[in-house]
Amino acid sequence: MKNFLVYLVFVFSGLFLALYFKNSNLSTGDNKPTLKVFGSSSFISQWGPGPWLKEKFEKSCECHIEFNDSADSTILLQRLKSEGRNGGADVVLGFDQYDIDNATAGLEWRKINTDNINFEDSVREVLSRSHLVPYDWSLLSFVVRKSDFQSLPKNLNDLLDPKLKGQIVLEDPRTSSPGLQFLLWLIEIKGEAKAFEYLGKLNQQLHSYAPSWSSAYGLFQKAQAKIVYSYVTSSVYHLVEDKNTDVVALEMDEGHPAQYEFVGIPATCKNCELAEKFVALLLSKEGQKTIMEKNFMFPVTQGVREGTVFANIPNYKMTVMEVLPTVADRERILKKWSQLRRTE
Amino acid sequence: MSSSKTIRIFLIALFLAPYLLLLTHWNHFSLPPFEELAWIFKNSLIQSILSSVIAIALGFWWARGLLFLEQKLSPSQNRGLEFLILLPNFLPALFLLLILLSVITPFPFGLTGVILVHALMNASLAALFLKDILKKKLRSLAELCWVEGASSVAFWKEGFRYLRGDFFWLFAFIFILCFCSFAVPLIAGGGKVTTFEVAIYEKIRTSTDWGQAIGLSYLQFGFLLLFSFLPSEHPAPQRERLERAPYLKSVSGGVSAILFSFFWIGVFLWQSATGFAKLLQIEGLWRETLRVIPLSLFLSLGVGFAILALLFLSAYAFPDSWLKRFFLGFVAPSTALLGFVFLFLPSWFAGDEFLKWMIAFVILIFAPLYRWGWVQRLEGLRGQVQVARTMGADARMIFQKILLPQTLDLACRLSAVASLWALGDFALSKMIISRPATLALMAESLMSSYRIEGAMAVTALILFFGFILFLVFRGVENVIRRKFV
Repeated sequence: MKNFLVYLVFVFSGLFLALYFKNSNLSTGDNKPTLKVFGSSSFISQWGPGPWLKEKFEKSCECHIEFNDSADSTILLQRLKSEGRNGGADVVLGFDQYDIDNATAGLEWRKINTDNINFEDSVREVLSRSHLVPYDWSLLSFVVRKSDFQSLPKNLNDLLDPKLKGQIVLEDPRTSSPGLQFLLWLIEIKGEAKAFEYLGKLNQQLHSYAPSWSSAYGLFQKAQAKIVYSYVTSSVYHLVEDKNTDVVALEMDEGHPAQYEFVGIPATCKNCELAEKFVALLLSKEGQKTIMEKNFMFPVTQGVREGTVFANIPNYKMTVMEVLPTVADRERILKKWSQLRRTE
Repeated sequence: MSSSKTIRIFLIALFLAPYLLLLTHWNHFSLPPFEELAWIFKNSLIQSILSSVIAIALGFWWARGLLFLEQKLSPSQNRGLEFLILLPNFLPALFLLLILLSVITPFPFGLTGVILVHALMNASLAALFLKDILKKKLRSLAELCWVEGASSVAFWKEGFRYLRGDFFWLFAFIFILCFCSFAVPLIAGGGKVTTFEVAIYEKIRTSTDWGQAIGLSYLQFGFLLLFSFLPSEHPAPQRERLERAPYLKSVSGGVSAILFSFFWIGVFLWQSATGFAKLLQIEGLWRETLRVIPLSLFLSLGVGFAILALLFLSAYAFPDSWLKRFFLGFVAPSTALLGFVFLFLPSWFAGDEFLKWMIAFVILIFAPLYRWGWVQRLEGLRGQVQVARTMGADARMIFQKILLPQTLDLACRLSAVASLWALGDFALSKMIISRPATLALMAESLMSSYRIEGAMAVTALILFFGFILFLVFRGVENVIRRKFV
C-alpha cells in the first residue's frame, strides 16, 4: 500500500508540475496590466473576432488582454454580482436587449462615450436604454435552402402548409435567445391570444424545439430540417465559407425582430481606461468590419458594410419592439408556452 | 483516529462541500408551486423508471451476447467491443440525437424520445455490468440445471430470483443516472418534458431565481439519498470459468451487441466524414486542435487517476455501511450550480481553473461510477474481509492482499470511463475554464459559429483519444498488477 501511495503521489506530482509549468508559460512575466474581457466562446475563439482585436489592441496599449468565456449571460451576470471588484471583469460582451434589465439590476456600469460614433439608424432605438452599448446586431428570420422549395414561404401562414410538417426547427425560448425573440415577436405582431393560437398550429409543423441556436442550426445543416430560425446574416456564412448561394433568409411579410449584442464596462473594472479604449476599438471602423466578417452579424456603425457581401443582403422589414417585456412578463409568457407544449 | 475513519470523513466532506458552499452564497431558498413541482417529479420519475427498465432488458440481452463473444473474440477485440458499446455514453447528446434522427424519422420528441435515448445510452452500461454478474454468479447454477436437464425457462426463473438484488442495484444505478440527466431531457424532450435538472436550469436562466434552483437541487439530493436505502444486500459473487456456461450465452445478443456498437461509430464517422476536410479548410483550426490536445489528455488522465485514487480510498475504508449508503444516494449539484460554486473558490484553496474543473468533475461523476458495479464488487468481498479481520489483519494488509487484487480490473475500467467522460465534457468546463482550451470546448465553440462539421470532426478526435485513454488504463492495470499485487 505504501508503494502504491508513493506511485500515486509521483504520478499526481508529475501531472501537477506539468500543469504548473504550462501555466507559467502562459503567464506574461512582465508588469503590463491585463485587461479582462468576457465574451462568448464564438467571439473569443480562434475563428472569432477576438484574436484580431487582441493582436491589434496589444500592439498599442502596453497591456495584455485575457479573454474569458462568459458561458451563459445569466450565470455571467450572477458571477459579476457575486464577485464584484474581486472578479476583475473590465469589459463584458454578449448581452442582448433582454438581458439589460437583469444586467442593470444590482450592477452598475460605466458610461461609454459614443459621441463620435456614427451609429446606423436601426441601432439608435436601443442606444439610450442603458450604459450598455450595442456592438453588433442582426434581424432574425427563417433560413432555408432555396433548392428545397419550389416557392419560398413569404409569411407565417405559409409555414402552416402541410408539406412543411416536421421540417421546421425552432429554438426553445426557455434556453435560447433566438427562441425567446421569436415568441415575443409573435406576440408583438399578433397579440398574445392570437400568437398562442398560431403557435399551437405551428407546433404541429415543427421538427423540434432545439435547446440552443447551435443545436437548431446543426439540425438544419445536417438536413434534418428544411427551415431553421436564425439570423438573416446566416446566408453570408455559407456564401463566404462554403461558396454556397443556396442558403437564404426568408423575407416575411410580417417583418423581423432584431437582436442586438451589447458591450459594457462594469463600474468595478480595474483597468477602466484601457477598457474604454478597447470598446473604442470595438466600435471603430476596423473593429466593426472584423466583427462583421467573423461574427457574421451586422455592424452598428455606418460606412462598414459598403463594398462587402453584407451590403448585398436585402433590406428586411424590421419589427420595432416599442416596449420590451419585463422579466416577470417573460416568465409568465414562458410558463404559458410550457403549458401549451404539455397539452400537445 | 484510524486511517479508515479519516478517509471516510475526508470523502464525505469532499462530496458534501459543494452543497455547503452553496449555502454560503444563498442561505435562503424556496421551491416552485406544488403543481409545478408535481409536474417535475412526475416527468423525472416516469422517464427514469421506464428508461431503467428498458435499458436493463436490452442490457441483459447484450450481456448474454457479450458472454458469447468473449470466447469467440480475442482479448483485444473484446476490449475494443467494450469501448464501442459504451460509445453512446461519450458522444455529446446533440450528436447522439443526430445519429438517431437519421434512423428514426419522425423522432418522437417528448417523453417517448427521452426514454428511447436514455434506454439506448444506458443499455450498454447495463450490459457490461450484467455480463460481470452473470459470469461470476450464475455459472454453478447453470451447470447444475444443465446436468439436471432443466429447461432454460426454469433456469432463468431461478436465476432471476437469485439475482434479484443485483437487478435492483442496477435499476437504482440507471434510475439515478436518468433522474439527474440534463442534456437528454432538454434535447429529446422538445420542450415537453421538464425534469429536475431542466427545471433547475430554467430557474437560473429564465426566472433568474437562484433560490428556487438551489431548493430544487437540495430536494433532488434528498429524494435520491432516501432512495438509496431501498436496495437490499445481495449474495457474494463467485469467480467462475466461462468455458461451459449453458443458458448464459446468446448468439442473437452477441450479434445485436456488435450491430449496436458499430452502428454508432459507423453513422457518426459517416456523418463527420466531411468535417475532416473542414479541419484543413478552417483557418488555424488544425493548429488550434493540435494545441489543445495535450491539455485535454492531461486533464482527462488527471480525472481518471483521481477517480482511481478515490475508488481505492473507498475500498481502504471498506466495510462501512453509512459511507456506502451515502454514495449510493449522492448526486452532485446541478452542473450550473456546481460550476458556480467552484468559480468562487479562491485560487489558493482550489488551484487554478484547470485544477478546479478536475475536482468539480470528479465530484460530479464519482458517485455514478461507485454505483456502477464498484459497491457490488466490494460487497462481494465482504466475507473475505471479515475473515481476514477476524484473523487479525489490519486495514493495510486487507487492502493489499484481498481488495486490490480483486478490484483492480474494475477500478481501472471505471477510471478509463471517467477519463473518457472528462475528455468529452463541455458543460462543466464551459463554466469553470475561461477559454476553449480543450477539445470538447473547441467543438462547442465551433458549433456556436456555424461550423458543425468541424465540431463533428473534433468530436471524432475525442473518440479516438478516448480509445487511447481506454488502453492507457488497461496498461495501468497491468503495471499495478505486476508491481503491487
